[in-house]
Amino acid sequence: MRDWEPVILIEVLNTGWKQYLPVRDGRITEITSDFMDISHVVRLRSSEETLVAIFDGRFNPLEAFLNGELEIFATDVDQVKLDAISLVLWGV
Amino acid sequence: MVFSATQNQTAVDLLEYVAVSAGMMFGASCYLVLGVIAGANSVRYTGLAIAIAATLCIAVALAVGEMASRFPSAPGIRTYLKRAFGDEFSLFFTYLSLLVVILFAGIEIKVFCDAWWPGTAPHARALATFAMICFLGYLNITGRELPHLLQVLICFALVAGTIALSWVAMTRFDTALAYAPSAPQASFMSSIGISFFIFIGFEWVTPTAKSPEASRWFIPISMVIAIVTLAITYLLFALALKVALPSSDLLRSTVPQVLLGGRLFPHYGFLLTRCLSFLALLTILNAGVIGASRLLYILARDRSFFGWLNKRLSVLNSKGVPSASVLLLCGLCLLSSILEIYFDAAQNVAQVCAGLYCLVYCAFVASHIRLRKRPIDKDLFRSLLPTSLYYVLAAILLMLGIATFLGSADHISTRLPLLTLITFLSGAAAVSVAKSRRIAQFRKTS
Repeated sequence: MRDWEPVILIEVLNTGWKQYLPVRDGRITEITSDFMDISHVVRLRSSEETLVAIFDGRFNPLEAFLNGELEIFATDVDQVKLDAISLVLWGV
Repeated sequence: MVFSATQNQTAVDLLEYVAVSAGMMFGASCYLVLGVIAGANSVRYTGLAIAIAATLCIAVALAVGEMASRFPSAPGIRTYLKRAFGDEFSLFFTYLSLLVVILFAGIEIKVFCDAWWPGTAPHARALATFAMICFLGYLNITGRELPHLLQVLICFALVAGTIALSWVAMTRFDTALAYAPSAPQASFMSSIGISFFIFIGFEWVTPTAKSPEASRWFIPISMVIAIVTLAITYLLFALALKVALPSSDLLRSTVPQVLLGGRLFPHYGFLLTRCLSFLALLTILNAGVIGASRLLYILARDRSFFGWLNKRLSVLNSKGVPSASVLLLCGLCLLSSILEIYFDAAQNVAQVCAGLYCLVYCAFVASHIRLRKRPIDKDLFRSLLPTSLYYVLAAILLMLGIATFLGSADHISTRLPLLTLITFLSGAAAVSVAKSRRIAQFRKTS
């Protein structure tokens, strides 16, 4: 995760709610509804129910992605890093 | 007229998607198949077979585009079929399509060897194949791939070069004197079916969408543009083959493009057409190996193989590349290439691949029909074709697949065992993996 500093943008499809999670030095430094520098962005989109289930730990994000319930728009490198994070936090 | 930066970027993005879709379709083996189609049919039926296959593929592409819009960024076949018909159905066709990709790669490399080193002994070609695949594996494992702009340029050069070659042939020879087929070689239905081979792969562009808007518009449109562009290219090339070369040569040769080049430009035609073959191999292997190895990785992470294989294939190296998936894919492609070199069965294997992919596209269409019945509360790309027409299309694709397998009676003893083996492997793997996933899920929840 060294030198990996994207802005993770989480979008809720059914409400239009958006939150930006900038990553700096391997940590999420803030959660904000507005962010200026989005040159390197990783977009996650889903319904409110699915996102709540994912962040509650009830739903594995990889399974959600394969079911088409979680949309991920990012470069291949970023997708691999996200998958590594999900493997650590959510398990196999 | 001055275009804004946004409009320029939109055009570049669309070109990129078209290049990925077309690049996955247009390989060196397409020249072989065009030679077979042209050699076995008259000019009219050659053109009709390619046009009908292209039209059917456009209808399939619109269905795939609608599903891509419904499930943006999802890994294509695995998601669409799973959401429509469940795990076993999806796994069966995913394994099937991966096996076809491996066979396809084998044909590509075999044809490339025929173009560059004709008449050399099989073991020399096997050695060259080994070196090529090792190099390809090294590039992939170290995270190197062609820049997107270069992919676009290579695709453009390939299409333009093929059209130019065809144009020269048609202006030099009288098109009214096109060679007739020496005897009926295959049914028209099987000619349409084998024409599917030259359009296999357009749907692999769907997971590459960079944004939801791209999934909704650019991906479906890019597939249609790619199919139309290649259909025109293939039609012109097939006509060029008909006017320049006798049917018997077209049916025998695995490299009709080299024969054509040599006929048109005796001094440098062979080199030109070999360069075309190289571009075709480069574009398809670059996108194909990367795409297939990532699909293998995702399947392994989803525990879609057996326990020990899932663990191995889901390992990433320091560059973030699924190195074990790349190695496995390269190993299987090497095996496929060497078998095809030694058994010289490229045309029959191409026929099996075409037939199988007719069935894969039939599965896509069936999934589309099922998913269309489910409401969804977001704006989607909608295919303008009615659902009733897709029922007809599914039936046509099923019949075409069967007709392609049967084809002519020649070499049916090669095709049938290969078909049986692939279908059995895919089916057995799908059932056992799905069963073990259900058992694991039951143990987790109980």
